[in-house]
Amino acid sequence: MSQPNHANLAEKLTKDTKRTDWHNNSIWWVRQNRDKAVFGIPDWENLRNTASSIKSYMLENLHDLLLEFEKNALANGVQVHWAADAKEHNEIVHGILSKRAVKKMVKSKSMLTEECGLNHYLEDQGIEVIDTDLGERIIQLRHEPPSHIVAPAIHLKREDISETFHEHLGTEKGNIDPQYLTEAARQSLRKDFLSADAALTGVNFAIADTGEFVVCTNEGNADMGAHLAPVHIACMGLEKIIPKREHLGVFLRVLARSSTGQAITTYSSHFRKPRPGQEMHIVLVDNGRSRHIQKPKFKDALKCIRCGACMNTCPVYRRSGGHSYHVTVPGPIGSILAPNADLKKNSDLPFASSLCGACSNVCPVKINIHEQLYEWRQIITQEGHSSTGKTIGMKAMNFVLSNPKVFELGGKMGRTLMRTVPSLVNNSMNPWYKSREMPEPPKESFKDWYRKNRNNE
Amino acid sequence: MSSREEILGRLQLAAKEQKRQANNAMIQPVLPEFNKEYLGDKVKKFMELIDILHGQAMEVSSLKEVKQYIDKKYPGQRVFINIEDAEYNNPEEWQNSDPHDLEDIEFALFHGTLAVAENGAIWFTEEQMGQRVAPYICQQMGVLIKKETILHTMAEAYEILKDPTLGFGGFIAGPSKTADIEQSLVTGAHGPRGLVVFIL
Ligand code: SF4
Repeated sequence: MSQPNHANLAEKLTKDTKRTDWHNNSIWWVRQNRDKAVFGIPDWENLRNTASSIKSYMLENLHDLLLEFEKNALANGVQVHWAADAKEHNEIVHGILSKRAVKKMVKSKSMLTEECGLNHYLEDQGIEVIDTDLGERIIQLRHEPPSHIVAPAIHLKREDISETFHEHLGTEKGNIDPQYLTEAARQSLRKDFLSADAALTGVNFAIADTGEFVVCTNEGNADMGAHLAPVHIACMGLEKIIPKREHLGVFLRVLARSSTGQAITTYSSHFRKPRPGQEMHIVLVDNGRSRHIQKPKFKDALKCIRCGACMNTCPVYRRSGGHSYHVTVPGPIGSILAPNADLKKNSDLPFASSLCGACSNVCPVKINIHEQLYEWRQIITQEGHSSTGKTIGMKAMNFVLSNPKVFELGGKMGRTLMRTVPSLVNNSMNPWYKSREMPEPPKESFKDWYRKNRNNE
Repeated sequence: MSSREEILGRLQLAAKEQKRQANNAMIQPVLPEFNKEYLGDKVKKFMELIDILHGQAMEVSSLKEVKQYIDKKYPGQRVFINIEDAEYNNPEEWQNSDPHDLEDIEFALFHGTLAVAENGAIWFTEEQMGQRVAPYICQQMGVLIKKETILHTMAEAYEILKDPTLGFGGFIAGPSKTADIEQSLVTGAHGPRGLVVFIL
């Protein structure tokens, strides 16, 4: 296989039917929690509309808002850096760390640094990086990528985690109690917080008007890191900017409700100035965003606040798992972001969807996700990047559907074939037959039946 | 050309193109009025939320009561009190120390600026924290809230908080928690294992 492909990668999960069901159900449970939280607010649609229009305003005015943010952040005593791509981002972070001879850095969750491959880069330079979000720590110890943007270890069972902790943290073999395992991680990570020489956090929102940035966590790991370490680096994609602090009154209301069904995350921390004696840096990262924003049909994907609701609701994501998307951000939003970065390599992703539209319905900033998936399909097929099977299938379909005579003849042949040699259709070569029983073929088509019956009603 | 100029250049181009297509520039959205009636009695709702968040809320009639609670529950343990009424405070030794020295605080009590009924979040400024790390590193956290500072919604909270003057502040809603192991909720991930809110 020349390049990763969603359908093939999904088999890792789908070949174990029990595990697929477990994965599907545990994520559906999160979706149900989201529903309960959302239905409890009479203003939900009003909040979504407002959140969406603030983000649209951001997209139209990003140039000015970034300049305003930079000016205010500098006045607050924060150092601001601009990175054109992943490589420059990694070099900037490394530059800051090497100036202070940092040996060990604690990191809270940041999908951006994952996108940039920061951990590996720093480890190659001899810097120890400790992921401190429990889910991220688990997958870091297992050398796996995250499978979900909010719950990075959602693909793992407690037995898997127990094994990993037994091996790396010395917990009792076979003890699968989440309370016990979490406590073990707490003890071990506390030592890391206390001994780190730098902390890196992501950014949920950056406010142009005040030059501050807001980081949301449930565990408190961003705060433990940032308030102890002498250096705090915050990395953010350009699109994290919002104009005013009061806009948080909208975003903080929709974020956690969409994510996990909580009314708000436990910690919503507003960093404006470094504490006395501390160094604070912000790295503004482009990595394709300023080109993405120039595509009218696709720019709205940049409104995403990374709540994860679209993946929790997606029937394909729930049954194929985050790793099958072979990019940092999986699920519906990942499938419309990834083709911007590399159309050819990610041409399979817009097809990993049933286009049911559930993603767009739950999105708190009202991104038209399923329409963009459809748009990408058009482009991918036109540019000849879709898989050969799919292209042949589509061309054949086009021929059949635009020729009524051919359609009728094909139907007749199909029905006869399915009756006489069902193995021709019900075999593993036909992807539709996987986990499906083909229906009993009817003896005659609807058209034939109608022709016979219309006169003797 | 620096990356900064390159990025800004591309964004400026995008902005020009968008404005040309849209004909007129978008104005900054004005926040609408949000419903708060659905929350009912705000003190009751707030206390309900603290309970849902695995915290504990209680109405008290005096600071003395709070002090008694602490003395009884944490005898001989390291306790940090930083509230408006200076006679109870013991921050001298803490406020200017290295933040790492706060590692073994068992219980810490802070004053919150305001509290929000719809989600149980309480706002603290760094002044109220004494040291930024204090409310995140202590094993157990206590909060003092004046009843009249409890609000219905986040919109009302930001109406008050919209112009910050200090370097750091944050909302805290309940004790630290995680559900990263098979979605089972565990309190005490990194920060406080418990939260008690005294409503005065
Ligand atoms: S696209 Fe919408 S639903 Fe999906 S993660 Fe982003 S904000 Fe959430």
